[in-house]
Amino acid sequence: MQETYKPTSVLDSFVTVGRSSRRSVPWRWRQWKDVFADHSVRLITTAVSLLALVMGIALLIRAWPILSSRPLGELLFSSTWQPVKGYFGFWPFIMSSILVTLLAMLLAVPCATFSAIYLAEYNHSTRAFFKPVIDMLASIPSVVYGLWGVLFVVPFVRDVAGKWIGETLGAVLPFLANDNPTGYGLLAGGIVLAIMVFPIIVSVTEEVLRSVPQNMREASLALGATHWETTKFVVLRHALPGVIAANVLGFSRAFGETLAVMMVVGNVVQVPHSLFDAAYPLPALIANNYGEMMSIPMYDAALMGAALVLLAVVLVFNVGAQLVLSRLTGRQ
Amino acid sequence: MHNIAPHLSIRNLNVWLDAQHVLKDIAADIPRRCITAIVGPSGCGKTTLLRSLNRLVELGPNVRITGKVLFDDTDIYHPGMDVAEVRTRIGLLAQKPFPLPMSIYDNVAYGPRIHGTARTGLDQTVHSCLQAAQLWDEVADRLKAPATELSAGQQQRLCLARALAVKPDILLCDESTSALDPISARGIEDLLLTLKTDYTIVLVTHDLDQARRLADYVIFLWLGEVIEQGPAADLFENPAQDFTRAYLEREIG
Ligand SMILES: Nc1ncnc2c1ncn2[C@@H]1O[C@H](COP(=O)(O)OP(=O)(O)OP(=O)(O)O)[C@@H](O)[C@H]1O
Ligand SMILES: [Mg+2]
Repeated sequence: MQETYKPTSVLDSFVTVGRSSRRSVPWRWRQWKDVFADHSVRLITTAVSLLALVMGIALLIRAWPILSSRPLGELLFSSTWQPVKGYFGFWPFIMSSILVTLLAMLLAVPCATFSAIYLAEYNHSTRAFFKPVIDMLASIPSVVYGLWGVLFVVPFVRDVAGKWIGETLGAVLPFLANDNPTGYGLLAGGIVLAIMVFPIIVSVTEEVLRSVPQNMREASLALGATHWETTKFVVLRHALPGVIAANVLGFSRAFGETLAVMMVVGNVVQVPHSLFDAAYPLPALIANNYGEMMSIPMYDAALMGAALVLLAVVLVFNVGAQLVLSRLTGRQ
Repeated sequence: MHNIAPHLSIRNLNVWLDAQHVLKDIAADIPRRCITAIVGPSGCGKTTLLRSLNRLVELGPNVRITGKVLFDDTDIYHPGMDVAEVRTRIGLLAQKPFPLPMSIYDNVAYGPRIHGTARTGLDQTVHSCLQAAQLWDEVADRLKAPATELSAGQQQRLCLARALAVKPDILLCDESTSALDPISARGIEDLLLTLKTDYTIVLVTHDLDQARRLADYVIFLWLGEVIEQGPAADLFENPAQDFTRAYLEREIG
């Protein structure tokens, strides 16, 4: 019975040449299925990657009028945004996006990494409670985070953080000066965004840490290393590529997040110079303005251009992360 | 040599893993600066016993341990005991070698770096430990390469070098020559025999010939119980229990 399904070795096929017709039928069917699986997997993967390409090309075509009529440097680095007069400078939006995302990551990454370490390495008993809660947090719609930001984070920034920091440190450090009495601004956006990406980063990082083989930890502990040394030098080191991937995921999510940020960030066209200044990130620009005032010449093309910039930044960031990852995994 | 105070003294040690009573009332003495072999059929609890001698066993889920393991008269399971210190002084070579996720050099340097014992002369320590583990010649020109690139047998020797670099008092070896060819295995055996002058060694092995060649003292384990223990010569030539005799003879024949 074994003979009918066991893969034939070269030697076998010589030995059993006499009855090869009987066994080659199921074998060829399996081979065919294998080839089919091979191709269909490749086809699907290619199709999905093509979709990203098609999106990029479509945006490029729609943005072409503005790209071809103005120098790219002016579009990207000019701070003047006056659509009616034909000035389209993306710089305030690009800077707003970058700053609000950086701020969010600055707040979220350390907390998320330590939380993940705590859940994966230190507290196995409460994990059963915390893990589902964190996964649930990760799936709350962003509008809820946005509302929560309006209700709590904005007043907090306005009445507490803005007042204290603005009056004390703000007098000395210009990037902490506060001349925005509303509370809607970079800090509120950063906090809301940080809270939004926190559960995503924790969840993925925790899974990555848990996938580190137990024997690896034991190897380190058996040499007299403490729990923390083992976590730092062995577990995190082994899991580093995955931890980086988790943070890249968080970054991409934060950079592209629209609604929650839009609700609290103030949406004023300016390059923010202080933590409390209002900002206007790229996704908010597109979502706020697309479909309105479309009769202004080049307005449509300019918004498409903004989307293109958004896509390009996320793409460049991901490719960069991929390069770092492949160097890391190559070294290990 | 066995009239000196034992280095490790196991008293009424019981270990349950997932409600399974794996070690039952183990009582045994591990003599100082001797090689003690733990022998017995597969699954009898040799690895578990070895791992409970440096408190690695407690890392598993649902583990319950009762009894004492006296190390120079202090119980390593005493609540006030510094576990990292216990594991520093009682090193263990796992049954499956697991290189740390770093270079060959860093693997060996890991212990000295953690313990801050080798500010200077780290290169020298790494060199001598790799040499002792008979690995130096094979890796001398690629010390910076990731340790995972090594073959299973090389990894086994790397783990030995890594353990030696910590300079423990007691070395627990779980089938440490199982992935080696006979010549490398003999090399490691010779190393253990030289180490015996400074270290107390506990060896788990399936290879009774190896046990005969190396052991001064033998513990025979069966289904989680110590059936017989004693000086190697007595136990191998004149087992007191019929059970031991049967096991030894079946292995030979
Ligand atoms: N995590 C665990 N949960 C439950 N039972 C376990 C666990 N680990 C080991 N055991 C059981 O404990 C017993 C002893 O295992 P141990 O690994 O100590 O045997 P061993 O003598 O080292 O065997 P071998 O010679 O094959 O390495 C076995 O019956 C095994 O099934
Ligand atoms: Mg074992």
